[in-house]
Amino acid sequence: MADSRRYILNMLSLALILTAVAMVPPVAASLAFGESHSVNVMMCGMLFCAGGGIILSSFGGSTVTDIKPRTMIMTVVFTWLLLILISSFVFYFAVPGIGPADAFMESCASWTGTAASSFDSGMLPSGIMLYRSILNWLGGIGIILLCLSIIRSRRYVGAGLAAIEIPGPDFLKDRPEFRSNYRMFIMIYAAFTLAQFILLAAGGMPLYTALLSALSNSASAGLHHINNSVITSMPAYIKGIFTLFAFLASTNILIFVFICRRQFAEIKNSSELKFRAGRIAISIVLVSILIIAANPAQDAVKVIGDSAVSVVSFLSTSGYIASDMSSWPAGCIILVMLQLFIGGSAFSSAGGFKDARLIVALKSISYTLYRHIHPSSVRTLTFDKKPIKSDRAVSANLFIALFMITYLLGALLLSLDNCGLYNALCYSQSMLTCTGTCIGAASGSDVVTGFSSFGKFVMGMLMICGRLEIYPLMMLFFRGFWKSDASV
Amino acid sequence: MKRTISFYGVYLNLLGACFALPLLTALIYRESTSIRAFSFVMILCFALGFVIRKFLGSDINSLSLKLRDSYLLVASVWLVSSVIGSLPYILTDSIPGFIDAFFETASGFTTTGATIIDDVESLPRAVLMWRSLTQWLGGMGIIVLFVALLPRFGIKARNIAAAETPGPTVTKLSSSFTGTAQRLYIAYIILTLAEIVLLMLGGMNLYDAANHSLTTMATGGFSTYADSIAHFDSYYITWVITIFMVLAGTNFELFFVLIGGGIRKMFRNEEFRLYLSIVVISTALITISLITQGGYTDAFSALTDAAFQVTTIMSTTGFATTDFNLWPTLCLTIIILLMISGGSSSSTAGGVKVIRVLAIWKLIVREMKIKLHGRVVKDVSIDRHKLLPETLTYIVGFVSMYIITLLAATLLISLSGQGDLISNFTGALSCISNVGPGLEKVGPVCTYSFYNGFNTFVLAIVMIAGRLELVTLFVVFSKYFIHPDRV
Repeated sequence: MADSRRYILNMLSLALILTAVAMVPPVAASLAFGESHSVNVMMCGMLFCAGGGIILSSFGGSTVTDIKPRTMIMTVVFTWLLLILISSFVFYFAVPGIGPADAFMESCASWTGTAASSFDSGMLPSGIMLYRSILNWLGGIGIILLCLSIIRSRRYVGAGLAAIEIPGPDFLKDRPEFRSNYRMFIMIYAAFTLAQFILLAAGGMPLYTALLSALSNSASAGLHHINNSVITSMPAYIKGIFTLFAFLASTNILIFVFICRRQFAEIKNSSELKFRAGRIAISIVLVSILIIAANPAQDAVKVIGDSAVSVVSFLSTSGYIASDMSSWPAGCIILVMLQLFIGGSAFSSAGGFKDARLIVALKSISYTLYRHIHPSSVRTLTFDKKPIKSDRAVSANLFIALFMITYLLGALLLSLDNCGLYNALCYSQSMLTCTGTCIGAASGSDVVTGFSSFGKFVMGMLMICGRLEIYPLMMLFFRGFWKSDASV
Repeated sequence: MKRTISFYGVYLNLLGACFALPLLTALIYRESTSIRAFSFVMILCFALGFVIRKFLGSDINSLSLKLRDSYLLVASVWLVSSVIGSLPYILTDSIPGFIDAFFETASGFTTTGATIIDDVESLPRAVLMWRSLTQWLGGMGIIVLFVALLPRFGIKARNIAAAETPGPTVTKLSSSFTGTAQRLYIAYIILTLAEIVLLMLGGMNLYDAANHSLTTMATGGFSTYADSIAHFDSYYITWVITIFMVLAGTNFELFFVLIGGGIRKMFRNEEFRLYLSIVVISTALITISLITQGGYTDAFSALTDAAFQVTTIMSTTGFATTDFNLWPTLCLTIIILLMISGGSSSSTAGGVKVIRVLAIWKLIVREMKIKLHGRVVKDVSIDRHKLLPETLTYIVGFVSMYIITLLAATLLISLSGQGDLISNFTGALSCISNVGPGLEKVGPVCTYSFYNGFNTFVLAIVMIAGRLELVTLFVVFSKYFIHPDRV
């Protein structure tokens, strides 16, 4: 067997074993809560994953000298699809009264960090709730990245796999700061999760809820376990912690690597960080102004606080509902909705097409205008004062177009359920951006109702598209994916 | 600036002459207010033109236009035309407010067809004729008409027309661009006359036939009736207009290919094949949806409505035979997709254009190949012509510009709290793609009259930006235009 195939099998086996290990805490929790049915289901899942992982490991190998891009994409896609499928079975058998489509959607939502579910959080046993939050956490940073931190691999291979799994534009993934630092991401991610857990517990939140919240919120995955992501009645301190960590989770994790390495000049040059902070600040101000203009009798400080919490929740694609948005003027809702497309920063757990790509798109537009005035002049596009190759700039623009095409095609498929245009557009957006909660929807929570099994399947696929940045999943339907490099 | 203003000396004469048709209509129907209004505007144009020529010279052939002058010229011509064109509405009291009149005129020249007039039948016939004529003039391009009529404009014509012609290509049909412009206008006039004859054969009177033909071939969509084409309640008229809308959304250069090389050569054009495929597939899907979900019991009626709405939206005309707001969700989503794609390049249609959709799809496929197989890179080509990297950059840059402008316009008109997401999004989309009707509050049986002055003005500017393919207008307002030496 070729080295590359042995490597894929090794990666799959590791992912399965890691998933099996990740089931240990939920099994323990189920035992503690006396949920015997959940224990049985998760034990079966755990044994299946562990058994499958051990069997595959006997065919696998971790030494690889060369690996083709196609093989790397296959590794990521097949690993994700296999794990989502296995988790679907766990949800299907563990949660009474749900159908296969509900289980699939729940599994997709868990792995992709989307605050969406087709049933009320009250239906989930406590142990399964922890399992869901752990999946949020694993999906947020990336299961492949976790495997890479365990096994030894050449930097080219590891960085290649990480680049496929971690969302962000190619022009940033080509840079040495990504290729030499991606292994540090997990440490930072874990540190944030731990810090959030401690701060939530210090604020008086029950430990179990604090653990679930920290795991999910670190992955920008919403807070399904707390009243279907509706946290309006929570104390201001807790809301503040959620807001802070939702913002951090949607910020480029390289920023924190630079902080750890004391490379402050890199942070100063980060146009994405400035753009993102500015965008959020302007949105908070605008939303506050519009709300106060619509009802001047309101307490301005409370309005600004509520606006900040809600804006950060959605602009980080976390999707929890922190204030009563039903009373918001239409302009506020649209302001937030339109920015959901952008989502968070590159190399973060947030969805959307990312700030970095938008910045490049704006620079490309500026360049196009420049070229119309100076057709014979040549100028190089830059990002963070570093040049970007023209084909990489085209790729970034193209991804935005592809993202919008996928969004509209998703809405087209959802509209087969005759669910109303608003719902079709809104749910397609919230699933593709991995936000989950449909802002302004009638349900007012992250529970999706009124869709057929087909609609739920489409939503699940949209979530995977959003998390893996469309191309890897799209390639499954592309003839070239199944052809070897030699035959192309 | 002087070079641009001196162009106006001749241009205003041409615009003044265009008021002859509504003036004639006013004389025929003895509308005294309209006679006074159109006479006044006509004299004003001639007088202004005379003054400019007197002081700045009239030899436009001697103008040494730089590239940035071309953009300023085109952008300003469209803005000035919309301002002057709004005067008849104000003077006849058809639309008393300037902003609303500007919106209506911009909607006319840009062939959008969005209206703020709730009771269109109450307007004088001469005003309605002017409204239709603005669309016909804007359809093929005001400057292109100028170039076609004035051969001495010479070598500068191509640069200027390129800033106005829809789509990324202006193919040479003749050795000079003036020849190309003339041939395009000949095709345009022949098709318009043919439609007038065919509509009259269906029982329409000359006035209605002329108005609807002018707005069909321009893919404008203004009608002389509030209920648009539904007013005629005729399958014949519906199908005649459907066919002409398909033709209007086709690359006009292909008509000459058809004459010179036959239908096979025409079908070799990739953009045309994709355009027809989208029309057929969308019609089929909507027909099925109308029968299965929309309560239609008659298959032919469903097919007629589906075909009409698909072609009217994709060609960005904007007529209506039914209130498609009430159609099943699937149909509405398809309508939104069609609004975005628009018609073919070098047609009178708006939108992103089918050729760009095709290029984007080919780029996506190439991107997948690069991601999958590393260095295996194939050129992107359309009709066996390799697209240069520069062209690809422009295409993706345009699409990004389109998306960002659409979202920004939606946001801007939403800030005042007017309208809901669907109305504002589809309203902005309809204006940027020059379609006309949107959905919900700006649906086919509604108007844009509920928007305040600010929103109406924003949408009018969006229409002009969309008609000029965004770049032409944005270049004029960019820092590079104001400071051309800045890099």
